[in-house]
Amino acid sequence: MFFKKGSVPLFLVLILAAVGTWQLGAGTWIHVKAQLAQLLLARAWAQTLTGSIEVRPWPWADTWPVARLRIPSVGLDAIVLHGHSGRSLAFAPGLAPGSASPGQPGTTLISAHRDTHFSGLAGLHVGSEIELQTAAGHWRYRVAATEVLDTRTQQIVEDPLRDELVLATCYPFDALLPGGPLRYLVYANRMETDL
Amino acid sequence: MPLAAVTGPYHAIEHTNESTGFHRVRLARDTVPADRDFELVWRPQSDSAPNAAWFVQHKDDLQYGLLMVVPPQKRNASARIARELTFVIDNSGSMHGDSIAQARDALLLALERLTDADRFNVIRFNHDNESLFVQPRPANAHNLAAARGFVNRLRARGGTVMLPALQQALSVRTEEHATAQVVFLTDGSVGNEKQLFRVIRERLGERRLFTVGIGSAPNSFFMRKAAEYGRGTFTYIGKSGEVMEKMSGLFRKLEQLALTDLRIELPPDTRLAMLPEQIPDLYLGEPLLLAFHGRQLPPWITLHGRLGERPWQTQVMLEGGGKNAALAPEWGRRKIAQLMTRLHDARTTDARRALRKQVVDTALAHHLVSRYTSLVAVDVTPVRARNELLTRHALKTNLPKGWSYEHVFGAPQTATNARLQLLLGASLVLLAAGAHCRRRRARC
Repeated sequence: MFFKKGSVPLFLVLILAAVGTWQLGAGTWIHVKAQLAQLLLARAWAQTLTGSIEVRPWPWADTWPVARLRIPSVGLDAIVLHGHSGRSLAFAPGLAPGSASPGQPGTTLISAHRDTHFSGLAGLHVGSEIELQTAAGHWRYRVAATEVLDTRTQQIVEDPLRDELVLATCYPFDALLPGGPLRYLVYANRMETDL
Repeated sequence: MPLAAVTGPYHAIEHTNESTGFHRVRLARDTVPADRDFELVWRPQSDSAPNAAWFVQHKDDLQYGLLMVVPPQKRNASARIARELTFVIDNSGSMHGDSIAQARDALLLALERLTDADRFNVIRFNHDNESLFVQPRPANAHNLAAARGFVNRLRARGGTVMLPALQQALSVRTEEHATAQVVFLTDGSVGNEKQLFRVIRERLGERRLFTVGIGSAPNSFFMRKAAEYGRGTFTYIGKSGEVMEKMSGLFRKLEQLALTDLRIELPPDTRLAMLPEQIPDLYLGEPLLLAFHGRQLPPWITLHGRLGERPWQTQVMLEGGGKNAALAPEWGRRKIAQLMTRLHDARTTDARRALRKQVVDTALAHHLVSRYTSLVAVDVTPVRARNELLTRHALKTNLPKGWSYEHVFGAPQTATNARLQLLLGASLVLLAAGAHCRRRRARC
């Protein structure tokens, strides 16, 4: 150690313990918020299903629930919010603005954090089923491909002719630092049999 | 009208002065990507700037006219007017980053330009709103210092609830004889546009509302319309470097007496349509542009208005007039803009359908691009064998300059630092525990 026995100042121990606890708390809070927000979103989602539009889950929210995403094989069941700004991704997966509506031709892009809602995305394989529900209907998709994309050189390209769902999250899944350029993409095609 | 300069701010152009009165402008490069507006700016030679210009076009038994009037500038530039200014600033989360910094800079610049004769107030809003003063106060050193502190403390966070802030800005009782101006700085990311427009229309009174759009892609539709209902103007600040220039331009305008309550008087028994229907206020040096349409254009019109407290009027003789084939399409464009506003306000599906039809008819009559019509080029060289079926596929278009797919449709930041924080936290707590053991000389 850097100090002789008995010479470690008390304030240093306290500071280490305080900063450590604070960091643990902040890290845990991210997970708690992601789970808790889903409970708060449930009411707004129920109202959305009965025909209300842009139901704000809390009065100062600048986003609203647009869909419910279920992936039974990895145990994911989450309400999806409009937009994918950092603020709304803390609460729920986000539907990219400009995305095609599910059931319409085009690409529907949903993003979420790799360490909260989309932590199970690594467990998805070609053939896995994904369910997506909006106020307009209920659709099933089958995973067609997965890909790692480098945002410095590649783009997520919309295919206006196919009914396609793309799930996106940061990659690699176990990286320590946030902010990397890689994304893990799951491409899924809509199945003809609607629910 | 001899020109002093012809420039294209966003494209390299070649400009040749052909013969008397004709100018040829072409792109310096043969092909350029269609990813931004083409803007052509020309300035008349200063000694030849006319006070009025009149153009006509005769088409299918109908007459089109375009009138430009530059009001006389005998006002003393230093004679500033007493104003009551209310600044409303958006500090919601969507303004985070560059936008809030731009808005702060713009507002500080505005405060700097206030004089002792002015009264002012600052209201900020995100999901709640807060006003610097209860009532507008004189712009003395003490109040300005308070305002600067208020502005410097603004941080972008929270949601956007614009209505109460707007209601407050439009409800404070205004001082008699002072020109009341509301300056609204926002990116306009709102969902209840119609409700906001109604509040502006109902509560505006003698005030004027000026909107300032902030950020790389503000909701220009909302801000343009809000300014139109508010009888003011819309200023767009796209990047930080433009704050100074654009805001100075706006405030120079607001500090001068404007020509207000403008209306035209026609000779008796004249049936003539005019666009815009309501003439906006005219600020120093701004020309008035009016488009006319009818079976017969009148020999004269009279403009009435108010310059501060004094009435103002001028008569323009509409004789001769340069022939110009661009007037019918110009009328069409103005007509479509008017119809689209009505379409936006229309309440019933039938009304919307009827207006939509009018837009299409107008666009087709003048060969214009509108929400519902496009210009289509048909390649006459056949490339498909006659017996093959048609296929359908989408074409890629250019993104606006400066945009990237990553930002428009793509990859948001999808990792949190939860893992890092948990690891760091656990290590630090362990380290603290170890250090604690050493202090106690205990066996842990």
